[in-house]
Amino acid sequence: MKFLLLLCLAANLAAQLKKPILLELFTAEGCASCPPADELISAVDRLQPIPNADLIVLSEHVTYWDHSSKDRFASTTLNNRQLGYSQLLKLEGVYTPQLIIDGKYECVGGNGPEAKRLILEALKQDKPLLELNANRVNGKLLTNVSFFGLSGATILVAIAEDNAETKITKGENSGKTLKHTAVVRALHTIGTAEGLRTDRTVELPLPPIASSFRIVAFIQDSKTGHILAAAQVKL
Amino acid sequence: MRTLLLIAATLAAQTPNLNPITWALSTQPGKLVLHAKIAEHYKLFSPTKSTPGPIPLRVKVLESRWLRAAKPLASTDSHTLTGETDITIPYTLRRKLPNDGLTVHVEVEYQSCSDQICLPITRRTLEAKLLPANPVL
Repeated sequence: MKFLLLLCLAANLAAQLKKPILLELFTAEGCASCPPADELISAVDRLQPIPNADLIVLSEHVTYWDHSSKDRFASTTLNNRQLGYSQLLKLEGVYTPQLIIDGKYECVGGNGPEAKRLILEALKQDKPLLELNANRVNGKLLTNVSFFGLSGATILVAIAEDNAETKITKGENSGKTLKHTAVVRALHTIGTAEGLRTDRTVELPLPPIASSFRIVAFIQDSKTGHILAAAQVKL
Repeated sequence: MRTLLLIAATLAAQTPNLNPITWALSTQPGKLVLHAKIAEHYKLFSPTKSTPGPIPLRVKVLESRWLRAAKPLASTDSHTLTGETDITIPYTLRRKLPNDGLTVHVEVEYQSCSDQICLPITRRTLEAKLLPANPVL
C-alpha cells in the first residue's frame, strides 16, 4: 500500500516536472486533408512521445467546410479563434488542418516532424505551474484554477469530448468513420490574472457529451496569443 | 550567407501556400476566358463536374444587364484542375455596347486543396474591358 502511494506521488511529481505544451488542431470533418492530422493528434495524446513534455491537445472544429458535410462539433467561435491566430502569426489566411503550438508556432496539422521540431522549440519557454481542479456538481462543472504571476493574461477553460466518433455520409470523407480526441465543445473565458496569485473558481454549464471528457485550462497572453501556462484533468 | 539562404529556403518550404491560384480574365469574340495558374501540388475543383465535397468553381458575370453568360467550360473533363488552365464563359450580348466599351467583372468563388491542406472558400473579382469591335451580336 505504501509502495503504491509512493508510486502515485512519484507519478504526480513526474507529471508536474513535465512542461505542458498546448497543441490546438484546427480541423473539420468535411476537409479531406484532415483525417491524418486527427489521427496524429490522437496518437500524440495517447503516446506522449516527447520526453519532458506534457502534450495537451485540443481538436477545434471550424465551420467553413460545413457546406460539404455538416460538422456537429464546429463553431464560429473556433473559426474566430483560428482567424485570431492567423492575424497574430501574420499569415495570409486560414487552412485546415492547422496545428498551433502554444499559441506561438504553427504548422500543417499532419506534419509530424515539423510539429516535433516546434514542440521542442516551445519547450525552451519556462512556464509557471497551473493548478486545475474540476468536478461535476449537479450537472454543472465546478472548476478551480490557481497560479502565480502572469498578471493581465486571459484565463480560458475548454471542455473537450473524448472518443467522439462520426460516420461521414457526405463530402470527400464520405464513408469514413472519423474518431476525434479532445474535441472542444465549449470554450470559456473566465477572467484575467491579477496580482501575485490568481485563484478562481467558476461554475460552468456542461454541454451534452456522450462519452468521457476533459477540462483544459490555459493562460493566454491576449496581445501575443502565447500560451503561458496550461493544465488538464480528465473526467 | 549560404546558411542563411538555406534556413530561409527551409522556412519558405514549411509555410503552406495560402494563395495558390492566380487568376486573369481576358476577352475573345463571344467568350470571356478565365485563366487560372494553380500552384504545384494544389488542385482546383472544376466548375463542370459536381464533386461530393468542396464547392466546385462558381463563376458569375456581374454585368448581367449587358451580357447573357452561358455555363463555364473547363479545358479538361476532370473533377479537379491543376497547373495552368482556361475556363471559358460563352456569352451573347443583350444590348449594344457603349462606344468606349464596357468593363466586365467576373466573380469567382472556389476551393482548393493540396495533398496536405485545404483552404476555405475564396472569392475574387476580376475585370476585363470589352470593346465594341469584339462582341458577337
